Amino acid sequence: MNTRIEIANLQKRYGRKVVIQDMDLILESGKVYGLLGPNGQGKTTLIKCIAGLLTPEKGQILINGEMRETRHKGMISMLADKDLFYKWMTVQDTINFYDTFFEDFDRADSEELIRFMELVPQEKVEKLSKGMKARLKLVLVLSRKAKIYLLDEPLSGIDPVSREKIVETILDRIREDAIMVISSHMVHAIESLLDEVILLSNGKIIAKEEAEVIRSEKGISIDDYYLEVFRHA
Amino acid sequence: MKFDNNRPIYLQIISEIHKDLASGRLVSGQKLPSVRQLAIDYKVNPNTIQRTFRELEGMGMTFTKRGMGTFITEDAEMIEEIKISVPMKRLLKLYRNDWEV
Amino acid sequence: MLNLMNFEWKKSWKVFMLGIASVLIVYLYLVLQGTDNLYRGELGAGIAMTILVMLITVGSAALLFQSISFLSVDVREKGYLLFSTPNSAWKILGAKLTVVFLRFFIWGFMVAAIFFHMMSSLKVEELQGVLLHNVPQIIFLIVISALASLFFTMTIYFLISITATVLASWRHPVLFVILAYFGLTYVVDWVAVKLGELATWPVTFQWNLPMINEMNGFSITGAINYSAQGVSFNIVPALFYLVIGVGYFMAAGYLLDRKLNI
Repeated sequence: MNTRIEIANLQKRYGRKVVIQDMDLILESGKVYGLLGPNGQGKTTLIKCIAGLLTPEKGQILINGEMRETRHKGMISMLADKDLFYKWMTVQDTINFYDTFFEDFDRADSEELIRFMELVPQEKVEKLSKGMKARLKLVLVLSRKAKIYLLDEPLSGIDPVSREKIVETILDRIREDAIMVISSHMVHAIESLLDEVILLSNGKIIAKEEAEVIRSEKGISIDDYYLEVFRHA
Repeated sequence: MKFDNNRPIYLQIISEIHKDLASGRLVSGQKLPSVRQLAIDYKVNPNTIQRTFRELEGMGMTFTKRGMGTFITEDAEMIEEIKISVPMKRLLKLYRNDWEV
Repeated sequence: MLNLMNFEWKKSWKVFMLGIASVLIVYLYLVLQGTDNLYRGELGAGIAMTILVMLITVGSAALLFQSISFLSVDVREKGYLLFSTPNSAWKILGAKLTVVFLRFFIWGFMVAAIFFHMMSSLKVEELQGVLLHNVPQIIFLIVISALASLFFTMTIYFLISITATVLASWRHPVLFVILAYFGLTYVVDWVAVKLGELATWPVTFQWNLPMINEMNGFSITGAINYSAQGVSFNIVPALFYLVIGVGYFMAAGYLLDRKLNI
């Protein structure tokens, strides 16, 4: 069963400031989208709107033709760029939480990933380094067999070793019936993962292209394409 | 496998496969690894591998057997051509580099 | 829903159990020290009352604080976890409220038990007698106070929900909750009183009280007989509060489900 996200006329404000303006976007099954742009241009806001953590003022988000609502959260797995966990939680507690509240969580998979990421189940989350916290968040998000994966800055501030493990894990879990959206300003690290790139500036989509088309038509990497676009934006 | 991000990755993978054919690492009729496996091996998006496979099939270098996978062509002539053209291309590349330098 | 309740309970059960345990330990210590003697007479009764009042206020304040921080932490910092699950906001709120209610009830029950024990030590038989003859009524009273605390909690939850949804861009959510709480409570209370004046639905609450023959200071001489005595009160305002409470719940759930901004 393939997945489809249709965003139409989306507008999101914070008070009086308009963060996303009249956005139209279609996301198709089996593709990995790179959501690129400088900070504060609407990447996180867009992701949170899809995830249902923010409510747009105007426009609509359709998932498989239906208006986005609470039950869709069961098919959306989001990695947030912030500290999610309660102080008392251990790594094991976070796994138990996901296992309890998400039907599509694969416990066996998570245990394997925990080992691969070299995380210790009994360790308190607040004691983990930034890199280990990032690894943990990724384990939880990717151990779910979700239909929509929203990864908001999965590599931000992460050491190169953690980065490589994270990229490898993401790669391994790309599926035909799922949509992946990865927002990052570390373009180089995720280049080979991306099918399409969406460039966001001031809450507007200023470019949406297939990665390989950019490479063949312009002969430059996505990283350089990003620089080119934003130099003139 | 480090790819040059300034050129289409799928073309570079095709290049790799050409090289493997030329060196004999891949032989006529051999089954290629699955899309998923190649994606992991090359550390690229499976869709890129899909595209590679489509191109290879379009070029006649591979064929698919339903439910069994993708195989290198058994066309001996084509294999011979590839075996010759790869070192040729390398020579040309050296030439070009000379001129450019 | 059970999962959510389990999660809510586990979140802060240690603090709760610590509270219960420390009260019990201190009280048992006092008892073992033979402080029963302290309780004799009118002074003793005064001390007992003071302890009781302290337990009720401190305990309630602590529990209320805990229950409010439940939600405010959840919508401000850790909201992503709970609100990214496919649970409806009503389920999430319902689980929190259930845990709050249970804790209030347990706490109330413990306070009542301590009070009962104090009364026995006071050897004020009459009071002891009254308590013994009114166990169901006392439990009912505990439930009512737990519900009242729940109403308070739900009012706060409703206001917090507003700051996490339609008024999410306001810079001072805590100030809003505090001010709006007093404003809202004033209005609701006023309407409740007015309704009570306009409509009456009398309900009788039965106490089993002793027939007092003779009084001598604090003690009663002569045989004590217990008989049911009804206390009548107007239930209309109480029903109004119930409706408002449910209204807060429905509204808060709707807002958190459809208008979330965290």
